[in-house]
Amino acid sequence: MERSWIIRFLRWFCPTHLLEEIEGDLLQRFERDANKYGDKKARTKLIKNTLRFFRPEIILRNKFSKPILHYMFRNNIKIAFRNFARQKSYTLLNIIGLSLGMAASLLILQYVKYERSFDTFHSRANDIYRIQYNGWQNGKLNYESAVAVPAASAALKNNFPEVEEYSRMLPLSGVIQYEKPGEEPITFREEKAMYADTSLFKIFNFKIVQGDQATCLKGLNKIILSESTARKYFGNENPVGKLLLHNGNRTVEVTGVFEDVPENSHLKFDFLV
Amino acid sequence: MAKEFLGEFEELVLTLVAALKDDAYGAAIAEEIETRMKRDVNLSAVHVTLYRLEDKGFLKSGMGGGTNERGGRRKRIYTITNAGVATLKAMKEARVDLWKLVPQLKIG
Repeated sequence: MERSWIIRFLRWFCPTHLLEEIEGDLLQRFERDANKYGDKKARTKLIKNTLRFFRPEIILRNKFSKPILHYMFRNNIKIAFRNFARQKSYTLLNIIGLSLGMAASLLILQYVKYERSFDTFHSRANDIYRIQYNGWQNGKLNYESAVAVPAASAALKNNFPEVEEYSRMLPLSGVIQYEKPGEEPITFREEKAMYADTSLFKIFNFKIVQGDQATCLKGLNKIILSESTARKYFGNENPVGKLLLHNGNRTVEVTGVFEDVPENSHLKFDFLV
Repeated sequence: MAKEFLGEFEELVLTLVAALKDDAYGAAIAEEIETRMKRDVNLSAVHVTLYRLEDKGFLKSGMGGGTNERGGRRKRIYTITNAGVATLKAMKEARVDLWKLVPQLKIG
C-alpha cells in the first residue's frame, strides 16, 4: 500500500513538514476501512481521501506566509492605492498611458509575427530563389525589375548542377465566365491568375486536391483553380472537365483544383494556366 | 489585532482537541466527530482546520511517538493553548447568555 501511486502523488505535492502525519493518518484510516469494508472499498476511499488533501491550504502552506514579507507587501499595496486616490488625474493619465503602450506593443508584435511568417510554410523555403532582372549601363545600375527574362531559368538549370528545378510564372488578369446551360452565366473579373509551369508544385508546397499534379498544366488552355474559386463558380459540382470562357473569346478547360494559397504567401493566385 | 472568531467546525475541532488531551491528532479527531456527531467529515478538512487554529494561536503541536499500526509514521499531537481555552469559554458563555433570552420552549 505504501508504494501505491496515490501515496507517491501525496509525497509529490505535500510540503515535507506535513507529510509524515498526513501519510500516517491516511494509512491509519485505510487500515480501519479495510477491516470495516474490505480491501477494495478501502482502496477507493484512500484515493478519495488523498485527493481531498490536494487543496491550496495544504499545497501552499508556508509558501507565502512569511509574516514580514506578507505585511510589507500589504503595506506597499495600501500605500500605492492611497497615492492613486490622492492624485486622481495623474493616476488616470498613467494608467491610460501604460495600457495604450501595452496595446500598441501587442499589436506591433502581432504584425511583425505575421510579416515574418511569410512564405515560411514551404518545406524548402531556404532553397527557393526568385530571379530578378537588373540592367547595367556603363558600370552603373540603372534598371531593376522583379520580372526576369524567361529563358534565364532554363539556362541556369542547364549550366549549373546546383539548380534542381525552375518554374516560370507570369501574372495575368481578365474576365472569367462560366456558362451553365439554361442559367445566367456566372462572370467575375479576376486579378489573381498566373501562367505557370507544373514544376511549380515540385518547388512550392501548394497542394493539388483534384486532378493530376504532373499533367494538369500540360498543353494549351488548361486551367486549375483554388478551392474557394471553384466553389464560387461551380458551387458543389465537380469542377474538373468544366469549360470556362476567358475574356469572352478563349475557352479553357478545368483540369484540377488546388488548396487555397495561405494568407501569408507572397505569391497569391486563384488560377493557374 | 482584530478579535479572532471561530467558525462552527473550528469550534468543534478545538473542543475535541481539548477533550482528547494527549491523543489529539488528525485521524483520531475525524473519527471522534464521525462516531459522536454522526456526521461525515473528510480528513483533509480536519487537518486544514487544525493548521488554521494553530496559526490563530489556539493550538500548539509537536510530533508524537510512532506506532506500528500506521506504517511507523509519527502523529502530530495537538494541545490547546490558554488562548484557545479562553476563547472556547467565552464562546460558550456568550451562547448561554443568548440562550437565556429565549423564552423557554417546550417540545410537543
